Amino acid sequence: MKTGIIRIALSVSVLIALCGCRHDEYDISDGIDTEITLFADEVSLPVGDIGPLTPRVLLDNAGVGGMLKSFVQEDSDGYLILEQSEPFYTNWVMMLSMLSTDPSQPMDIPVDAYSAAPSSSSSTLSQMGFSLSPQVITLTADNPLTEEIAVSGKIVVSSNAEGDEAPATLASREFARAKVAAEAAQATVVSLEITGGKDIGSCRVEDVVLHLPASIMEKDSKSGMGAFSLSYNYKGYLSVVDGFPASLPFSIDKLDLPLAQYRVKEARIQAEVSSEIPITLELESVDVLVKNADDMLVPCEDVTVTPGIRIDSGRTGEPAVTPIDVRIQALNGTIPDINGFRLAVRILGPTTEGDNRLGLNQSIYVRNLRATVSGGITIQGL
Amino acid sequence: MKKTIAFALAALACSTLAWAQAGPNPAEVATLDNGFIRIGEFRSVSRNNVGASSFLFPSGETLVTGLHSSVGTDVFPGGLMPVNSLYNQLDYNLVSYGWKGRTRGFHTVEVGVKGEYGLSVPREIFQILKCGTAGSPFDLSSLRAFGNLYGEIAYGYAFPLGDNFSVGTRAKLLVGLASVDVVAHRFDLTTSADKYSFDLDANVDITNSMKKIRTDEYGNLDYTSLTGKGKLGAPTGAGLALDFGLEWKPFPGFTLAASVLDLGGILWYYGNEGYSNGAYTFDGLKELGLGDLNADGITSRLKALGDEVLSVVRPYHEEGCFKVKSIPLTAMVKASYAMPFWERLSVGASGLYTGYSFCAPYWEARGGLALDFPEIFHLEANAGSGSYGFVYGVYGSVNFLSFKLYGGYENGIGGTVPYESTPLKANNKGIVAGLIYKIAAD
Repeated sequence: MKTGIIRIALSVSVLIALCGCRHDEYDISDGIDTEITLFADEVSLPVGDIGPLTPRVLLDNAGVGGMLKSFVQEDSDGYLILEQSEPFYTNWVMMLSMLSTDPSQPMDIPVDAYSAAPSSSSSTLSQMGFSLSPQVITLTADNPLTEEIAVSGKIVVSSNAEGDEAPATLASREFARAKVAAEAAQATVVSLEITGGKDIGSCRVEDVVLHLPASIMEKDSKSGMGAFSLSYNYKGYLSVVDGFPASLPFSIDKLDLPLAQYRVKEARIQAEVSSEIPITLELESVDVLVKNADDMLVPCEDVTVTPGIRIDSGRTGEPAVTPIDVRIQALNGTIPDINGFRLAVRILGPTTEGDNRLGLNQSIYVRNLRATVSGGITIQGL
Repeated sequence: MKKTIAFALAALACSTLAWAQAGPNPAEVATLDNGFIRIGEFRSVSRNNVGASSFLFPSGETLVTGLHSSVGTDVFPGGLMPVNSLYNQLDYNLVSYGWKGRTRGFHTVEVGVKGEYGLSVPREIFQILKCGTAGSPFDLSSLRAFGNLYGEIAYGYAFPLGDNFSVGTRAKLLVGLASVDVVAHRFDLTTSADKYSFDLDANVDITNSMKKIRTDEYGNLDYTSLTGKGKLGAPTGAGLALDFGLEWKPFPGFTLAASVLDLGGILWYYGNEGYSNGAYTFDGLKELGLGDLNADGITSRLKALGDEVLSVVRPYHEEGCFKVKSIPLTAMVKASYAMPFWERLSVGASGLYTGYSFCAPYWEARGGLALDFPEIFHLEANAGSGSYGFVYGVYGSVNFLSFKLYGGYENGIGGTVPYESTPLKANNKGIVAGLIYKIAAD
């Protein structure tokens, strides 16, 4: 009987010991460290497409749209232009008829030569690094008669005088008996286009003759009160031919990207930039700005951003597509809270010749923007 | 005295090496001479092929999750199963009544209720969270969640064939009370820097014994809106299951028993039926303007994106339908042998197999010792190995007057997380407890 009791006691002890088996190392009475690092190897994700962005939107957003418009105008297609228009000859039908010795005969009326100089804005824009190309000089005429008239003459465009050298002729055009339709207003008589961003010193219209038909009084619906007029018109399209001499600083300083808590070591951003804007952009350097102890923005020395990003130039309807690959990397620690960026942007001329007019409606897209984070994203607390 | 001895032998037959996770063999009552009433047997089975130690790891003096940077990818998620499943079953036998028939057979009637629920999560989900998206494509089709509640009315009949062989069977009428089953038949996820895409084919089956789920303007199930009066407990399904068993005692002291339990299923009526079928590709937010590049703008666009994804994921309401779903099938073989030198001590071995319709089957093999003092108590212990590793169990009963109180506990090695009772390792946990009142034979 005693042996039996011992056996029973032994069996019960073994069973109790088995039931009570626990691992002390898993005692969670002090809690669990809830820090987690997600996507430790790499995570890639599509971000999206940005755009269309236009210079109009970008300039307005940067607060310089108004300033630019004080220098230049915008034509109906959105191209940036410098424009001058000035009538240089006006005469009434009645006056010309009275001057005629025989109003029943056709007559030729000589017009005094006219010279015009580009506006001061032209030189200002030139100093800023812009060019004017193409530059179009147009002679227009008003014909009050019910019969067409003709105009002859010559346009000579000259450069600025350099030192003792006389101004050079950049372009000229003679026109003989160019027709102006009956009762036309602002009809183009002749047009001259100069390309290459040449610096125009003056434009002279000379040897101009109005060829009028016989009996002009009878052909004026206003009974002689109609007027013949000739106008000089200049239109220069803004473009960048050679590029700006120095890189432009560009700051984004109102960011609040709380990235430090995620302890990201490296992020890579890739995209294809599709640009219709006929300038080449080169991102020479990017400084990541962080706040120091005095709440001032200072460059973060530990974070590097891939320099040398270049975005090729395109043109309206023919965008250039440039792949970009930006790598933001923390050299020692992790990427901190980012409060801004300081960019050094170099604006270069277009890579191709042709129509390189700058327009406010030209678009730029950032397509297929994708991000890859390496080394994980750490989050404190589940 | 004769009746008492007969009952004691019957109790021994019922309890010898009767592991907690399997129901009783219908043949084991074949030779009983007395009747009995069993009141309120409770049985719990919990099978997880992962445990806390699959997700929590010691690091220095503290515990960290598998997503902590100090835990290598070979440990987590490398240590997880391809499909990580959790299964819990609760059975409550309200009452059982057994009586000796006029012929040689023995009859039983049982009434009870069973509940089961489970969840399976593919390793790929943790792979994405831990390592990232480089391992694309991912197959997430083993994602599943389910729960069933049904009543059981059983009639059993067992009888001896000769002096040492008995057979038994049990027919069960199953009354479905509630069922939820979310199954992803196809869930492929492809991730790259250019695009994320998924292809989903999933079903949501919910019985409407309670309230009907309304549909939104697009015909999708809207879980935030319910209609109708509650009808908890009203049948929403019916089924049938059969148990078979045999017991063979070829020579004194040796018993071989085998049983197949719960062979059958339930025809459920799913009044709240929905399906999600479609593919979705996300290749980034489109036409972002400068005005969108701020917290509010991005949040707004992401919300719109979420709505788009939901339009694919959200189950589209279908007409209610009937579906047959099998219940877990258990097969068991047991053998025991009473020691010739001390017949109160017996050794035994058993094998158990459970097949599920929703996850990998479970199996185990055990060996054990039993100590039996008729009319006083019975005690046994066992140990073995199964699908999730080492397992052990204890079982005991105490007799007092006409009552027998019994209980058993089984688990895998490794214990639980203190204060949380969370299984530490993959485990197969079972608990059984019940009370029998013996009815004296005429």
